[in-house]
Amino acid sequence: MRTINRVFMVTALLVLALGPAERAAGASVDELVAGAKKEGVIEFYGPSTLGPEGAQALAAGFNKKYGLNIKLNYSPSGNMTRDTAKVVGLSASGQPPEWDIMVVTDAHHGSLWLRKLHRPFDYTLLGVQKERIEYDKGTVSVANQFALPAYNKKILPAKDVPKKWEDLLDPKWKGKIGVINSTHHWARLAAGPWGEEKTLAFVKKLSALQPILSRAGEMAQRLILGEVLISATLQDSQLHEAKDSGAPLVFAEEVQPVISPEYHVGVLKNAPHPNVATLFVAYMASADVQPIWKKYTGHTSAHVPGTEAYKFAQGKQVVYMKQDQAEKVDKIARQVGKILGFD
Amino acid sequence: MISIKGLEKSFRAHHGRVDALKKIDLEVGEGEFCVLLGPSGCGKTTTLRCVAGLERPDGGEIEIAGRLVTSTTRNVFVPAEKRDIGMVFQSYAIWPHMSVFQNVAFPLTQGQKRYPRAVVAERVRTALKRVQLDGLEDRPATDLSGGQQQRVAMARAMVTEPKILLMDEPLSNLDARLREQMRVELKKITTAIGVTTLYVTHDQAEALSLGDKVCVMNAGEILQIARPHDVYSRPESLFVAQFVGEMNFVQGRVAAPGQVECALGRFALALPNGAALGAAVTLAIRPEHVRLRRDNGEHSTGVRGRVTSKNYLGDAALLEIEVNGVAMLVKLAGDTELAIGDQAVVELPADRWRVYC
Amino acid sequence: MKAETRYEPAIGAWEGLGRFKPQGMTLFAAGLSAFLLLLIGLPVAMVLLMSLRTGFPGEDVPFTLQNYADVYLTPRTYEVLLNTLFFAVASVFITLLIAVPLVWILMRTDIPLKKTIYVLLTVGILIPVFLRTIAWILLLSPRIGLLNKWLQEAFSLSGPPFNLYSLTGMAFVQGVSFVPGAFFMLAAAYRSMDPSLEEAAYTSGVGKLRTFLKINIPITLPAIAAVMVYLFMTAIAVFEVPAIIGLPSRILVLSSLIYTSTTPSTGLPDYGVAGAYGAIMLLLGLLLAFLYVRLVKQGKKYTVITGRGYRPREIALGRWKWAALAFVFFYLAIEVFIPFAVLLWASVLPYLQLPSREALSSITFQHYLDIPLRVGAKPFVNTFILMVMVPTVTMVLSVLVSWVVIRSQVSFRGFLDTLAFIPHAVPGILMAVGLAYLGLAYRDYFPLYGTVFIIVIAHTINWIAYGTRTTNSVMIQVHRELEEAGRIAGASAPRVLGKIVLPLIAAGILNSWIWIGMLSYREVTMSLTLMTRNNVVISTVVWQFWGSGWIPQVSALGVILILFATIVVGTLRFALSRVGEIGSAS
Repeated sequence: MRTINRVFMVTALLVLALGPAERAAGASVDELVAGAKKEGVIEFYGPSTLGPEGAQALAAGFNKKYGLNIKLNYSPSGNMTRDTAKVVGLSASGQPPEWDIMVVTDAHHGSLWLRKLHRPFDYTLLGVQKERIEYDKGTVSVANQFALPAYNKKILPAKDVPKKWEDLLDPKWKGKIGVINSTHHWARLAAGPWGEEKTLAFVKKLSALQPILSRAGEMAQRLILGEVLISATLQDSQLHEAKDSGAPLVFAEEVQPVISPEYHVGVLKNAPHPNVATLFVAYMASADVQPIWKKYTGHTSAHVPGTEAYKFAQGKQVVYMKQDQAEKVDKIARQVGKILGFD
Repeated sequence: MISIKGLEKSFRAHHGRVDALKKIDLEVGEGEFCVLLGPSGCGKTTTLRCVAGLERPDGGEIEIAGRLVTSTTRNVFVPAEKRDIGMVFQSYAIWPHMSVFQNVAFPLTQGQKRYPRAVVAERVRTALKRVQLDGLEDRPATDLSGGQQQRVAMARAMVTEPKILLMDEPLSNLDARLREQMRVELKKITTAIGVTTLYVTHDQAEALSLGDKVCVMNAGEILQIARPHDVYSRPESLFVAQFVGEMNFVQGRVAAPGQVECALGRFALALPNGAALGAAVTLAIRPEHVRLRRDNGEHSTGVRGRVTSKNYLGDAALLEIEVNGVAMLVKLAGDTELAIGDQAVVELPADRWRVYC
Repeated sequence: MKAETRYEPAIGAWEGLGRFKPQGMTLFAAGLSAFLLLLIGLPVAMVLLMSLRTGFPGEDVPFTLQNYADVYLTPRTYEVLLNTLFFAVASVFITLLIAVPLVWILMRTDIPLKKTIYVLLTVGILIPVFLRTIAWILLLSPRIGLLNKWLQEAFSLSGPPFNLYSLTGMAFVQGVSFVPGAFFMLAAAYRSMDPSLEEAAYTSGVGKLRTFLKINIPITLPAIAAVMVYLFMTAIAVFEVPAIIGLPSRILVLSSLIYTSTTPSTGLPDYGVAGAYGAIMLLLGLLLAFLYVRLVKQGKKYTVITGRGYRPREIALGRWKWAALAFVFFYLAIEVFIPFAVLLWASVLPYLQLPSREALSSITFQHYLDIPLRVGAKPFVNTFILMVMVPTVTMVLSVLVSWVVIRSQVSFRGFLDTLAFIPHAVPGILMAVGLAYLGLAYRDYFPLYGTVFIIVIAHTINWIAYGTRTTNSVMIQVHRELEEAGRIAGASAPRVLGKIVLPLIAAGILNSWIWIGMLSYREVTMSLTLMTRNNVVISTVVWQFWGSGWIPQVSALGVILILFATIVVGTLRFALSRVGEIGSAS
């Protein structure tokens, strides 16, 4: 508790006054391990793609590394957005969260961070690289997604494959281009290299092409069927799936910058088992986790050398979202949604 | 046995409240067969349903066999199932998912007093025998003719040997021949077991032939309670005169004390109280009380008229005579030689006239 | 003699309440009313409450009109409202265009293969709407639609003749999918129509078609109108078709706006805005409910269709038989056969492709083997709970409500009847959003959020209007004297209900029970709005699979479910044919 910043101090005081006192947690590995032994359990919220098997593989690795015998209760994500809102609601009514740690996207963590719902910890003390720590020491990045234009290589001739983002604005795509409902992809560009003005101008031009709108999975199907010739963005998750089934779906890999939404892990404020949770976050940051995460979710971290994501990101300009962009991303994502006609 | 005092009931209808019963009083003695007679909507069924406990009155009291079952002032309301009564419904209400035996046994097996199986079987058998349906115990209720359903309904109503029996137009759904046959049988059975009966009908012939006592109702009021003979021969009001049996009506005026003048002439008649000099009155006489002679030109006491229609019924003939612009119906026993267009002399015996204000 | 005891209760009449000391029946009816009021009123109250708040369920924030300002000061909201109205009206129009002739053909003529057609119609209900929608995309999409391509080639057209991605296209797909439901609701009205009314027309020298138009349709108009209102409400609430066909072409309707505001792709749910959108839906619903009540009242004029026990003589179609069969099978093709063929095709491919030689060579049955692994047991267990509990609870409540409404003398029975009808006026998605808010904001008092039971509650509320309409009509057909005879026989009220009423209405109840069970099985809008990881049901799994792009997998699941349902429904229909049509009122 030595490293808490001022903002957090204020919040903590408020919490002390309003709700149950923050449970004590150790600062060193030894103290955390000792505390974890007493707690014995961790409530883990993570992507449903991980699956119970993947979650238990994580638990086994964690127990082995620290010589513990912690029971991991896995809650697969049903609806990350709604579950995040639930955490906000629980906290607002002064109740402890259901989960100790959540692995959700950087955007969702952003929503939590804006309401100060993380339990910060100086993870560098546990050997975590500084650049993977985000949200005022509240979270650690675990894995990266990548988003780029995607197409069906059997249908789209090689000469038509876009080489830069601007190629997507060619009038030839009119009525044949798709846009998925992950409007935050554009907001990330706006908060990052493109700036707001350029991005909104781009999106407006995109909208003028009367794109076909749908959810990511659906878009993959429309690409495979040939109903949509190119999707302005798609995530690598859909590409992994397509690859597994043999569908000819690929990224326009020359396009840069690459958008990379990240999965972060963070301990929730008032977590019932803070010691295990803090220790588990440190474990999630270790290289040991990458093969497990890769096996079950298909994703790896671009910050861990040797992984698939690391290799993919090499030599490319990649847009990661930083905590100070969270609010802007949320705002612009809504604006983009309105421009494109999602809501 | 049944005592009704000041019974009131109104219903909400689309056009406002309708008074179905306006403070009616009725006493039915033990073993008596009382018929409620009246046109559609007069309140007779409502009275019956109030006695049954199927309808809650807005005011008044009902006693059955000395037990107060309904009283709005004392806040008493005994529900139908606790009144110990039997009832035959207009639709018979034979439960289609049960056999004849199950229908009749229902009051004994599911009612307030439950009986052992052997007793039930015995009593159901007796009840069915009484209505001449023995042997049909296992027949499904849906396989019965209308007359048989009627009998099952009777058997079911009487199987518990209730103190009173209520019947709501039980014969109205039968065809004419069967209806007369059942009427006779029904009277026999109720007399045999001596049950107090309240019977609702709109058929005056049924009322006159069945009732020990007939209670004529109209518009929520009782107009006359009397023996059948008295209701027929001395109707107390114009409505009763009109509703029970055929009647000729002639408009007249009190010309002098004890004297009424009308289109047919001037008659010396017993006048009702309140008929002042010069007041308009209605004279009434039954068709069978009018006598008719062929007009042979001789001077006689009657008035002259012309036969305008003739309807031969077999045992009687019904003639319409026009007398001084008034159409009179005349019923003659047997037949008559008079034909349409004949002149006839109509005799109107003074003691047969009834006068209403 | 009948008139004096048969005055209809005035709806909503409170007069006379408490005139007598509370007897058992009055107490029971009061309890039932209070329970329903709570059950139905709470979610509706929640919608209004959340429309007046910003922030999240559980956060204590002051009331504000901000959400209304945000929603109703935007011109786009009115565009969306217009879209919604057009979509709903057009869907209902298309439904009736098919359903009314279908009902007449199946109910009143000697068309062959009746039982088979009934089974196929029931199966049609079980095919998830979105699967049917995919089939339509494959046929009518302006880019890849096979029908469009063929027609374009055959008649050398410059462009595709059909555009599925339009309001009309959406209404077409939605309208077709409503047909089986409308069919079963209308069938009851036609079945009880006195055939002598038709025969009188024939003997007057009027032909079959003209009789259908001039006699059958006007007489059943109140029933048709009632079905119209019901479908209209459903059309306003559904969002599968708007999501799959409408969204890609930027055509939004109210339900998609409510869904996206509670389940946005980024950021956090905006319950306040959803509530403000909901308010206009609620208004629309109440307006329609008022219309419906008026229509039904008017319908009482046509007492002929309430009669019972007619065994209508079937009309011999003669040479028209083939035309009728062609019509029925054309409908069945677009409702059942084509979607099923598409499903079958998609389920054996590694990924969705248009038919080609290459596709044929890659056929695999792997997806069938993968089903247990991918889906797991939970959705099946939850769906089973739903399909048993929803109809059971709904029918128990409906029987009790109808019994009080139709048979008791309780002064506020009209109020109870109206109350049970209110859910008809509240779109399902709104009810679900209200329940979700209730579960999240007041989880201490209502700890059901995230369980399958909250879906049970949502479904029960949604179908209690339908349930009570059915039990009302079934119970009216039980002559009241049958019950009174029981009372006179000395049996207590509950005993009369159990020994006389229930056995008599059992067939009708069973019918509605099965029907509601099936509706619950296929319902996705409410289940999805209330979904969390623990209360996933088959319909939401199917939706999520589609969202994840797992078309072959979900197709395999669909094929198995449809085959299973066909066997169950077919057996039921052939075994219990005396029970009458599933979904009909008697």
